[in-house]
Amino acid sequence: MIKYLKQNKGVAFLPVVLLINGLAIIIVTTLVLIVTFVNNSNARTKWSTEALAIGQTGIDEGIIKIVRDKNCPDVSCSSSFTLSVGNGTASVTIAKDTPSNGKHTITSLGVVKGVQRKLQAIVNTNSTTGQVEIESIQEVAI
Amino acid sequence: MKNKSGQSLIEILIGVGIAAIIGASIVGAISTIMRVGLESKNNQIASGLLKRIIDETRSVAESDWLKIYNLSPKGADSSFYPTASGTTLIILPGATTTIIEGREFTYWFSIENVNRTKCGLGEISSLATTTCLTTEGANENEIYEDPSTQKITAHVGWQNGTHSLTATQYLSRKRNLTFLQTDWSGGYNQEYFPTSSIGTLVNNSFSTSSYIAYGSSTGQIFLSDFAVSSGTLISSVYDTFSTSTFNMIMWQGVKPAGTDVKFQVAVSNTASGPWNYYGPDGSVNSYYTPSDQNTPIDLNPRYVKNKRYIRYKVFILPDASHATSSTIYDIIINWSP
Repeated sequence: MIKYLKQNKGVAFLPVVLLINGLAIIIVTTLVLIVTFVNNSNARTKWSTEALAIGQTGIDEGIIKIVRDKNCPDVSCSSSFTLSVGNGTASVTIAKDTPSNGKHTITSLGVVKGVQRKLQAIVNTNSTTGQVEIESIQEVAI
Repeated sequence: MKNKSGQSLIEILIGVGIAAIIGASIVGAISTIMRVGLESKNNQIASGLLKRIIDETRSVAESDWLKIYNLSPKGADSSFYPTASGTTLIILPGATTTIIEGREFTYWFSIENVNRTKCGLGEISSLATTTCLTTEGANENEIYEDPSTQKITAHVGWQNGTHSLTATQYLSRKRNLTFLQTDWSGGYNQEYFPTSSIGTLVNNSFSTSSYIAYGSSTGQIFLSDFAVSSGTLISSVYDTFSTSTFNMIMWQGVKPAGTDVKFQVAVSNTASGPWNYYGPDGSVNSYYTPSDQNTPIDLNPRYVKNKRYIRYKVFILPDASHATSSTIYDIIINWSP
């Protein structure tokens, strides 16, 4: 009997080790996934900050175009344009008399590596003098 | 039996080996996740600092553009940082460090001038400055600096600079005000518009004129003699009370076919001048000619940037048959303090 047990110790040990290691592999895989997720999350946090700054650049760019041309968009001022900034782009649209007469709405979508932040500005544009006053700038849902 | 014992030992060795490898992997994974956790925290702090730099430089630019524009030296390698001074924000040269949750972060921003197409008035361009003599007819290939836009790149570094984040934005001098003259019936010989503690009052007088009818009870001006080639009127000196950039000029009124209205402007940092009236190419021989009334025309930033005083010279031209002229109701200049 003793001889039998001695003979089979190794046989019993291997399955147990394999079982434990199987569990360990699952744990390691889970940890690797968590690490990957956290890394992605870190990157997205960074890109989100950049996308917001780029979105703000797009709003500024829209406002300066209206300051220089109160009739924008017109033949000399495009209603939509894309701007390269740092690692991303800002896609800007300008709408006149929106949401009401005498107002311009500027929408800017900042994008960095697929992460998007969208800002919208409403400015009051004096129909006579063209003086532009910012009514609001806020982030909006995409 | 010997064969079976050997097999058991090999199995044990294999098992121990696998266990060691997996154990090392677990230790490695735990170590990595702890490092990533720490790095995640650092990234969050750094992102917060980036946003702070972006917001604070934007705030400074909106309150006083020249605090940003006049920073020197500029370039991708320049370094400045915003900091509180009493209740206001100021910009100091160099980088600064801060300790957050026991970790040291260094932050700063670099600032660069920005070129645009169409002689500084078109789209932002990374291309080098080219020859650019006039904004009239300027095309996409004419690259020049826009003094109303600056490129800001915010930097945050930690762990002795081995880790860093950056974010880029363009700031624009978007705050703007208006000069508006609607009446010239007060007559000539007024060198300066009256000023008070709240600013400059644009009244109904001007400096000089030639062949301009200005006595209309409704304040309009037009040619007093259609036989001449043009009539001119020079405004009084307008004080912006700041170092300003002048964005555009425009007129409103009636423009019969074939008639024209064009402008030159003179700027100075002293109230007494000198007053040199220039058009878009910076010479006395060129004119800002809006295509129609109520249609703004950009002033060339190259010649009208960062000055305190401005005055305009308007030219009213009759039609080819000298039978009529445009009638001006308003003259408007948009400027940014």
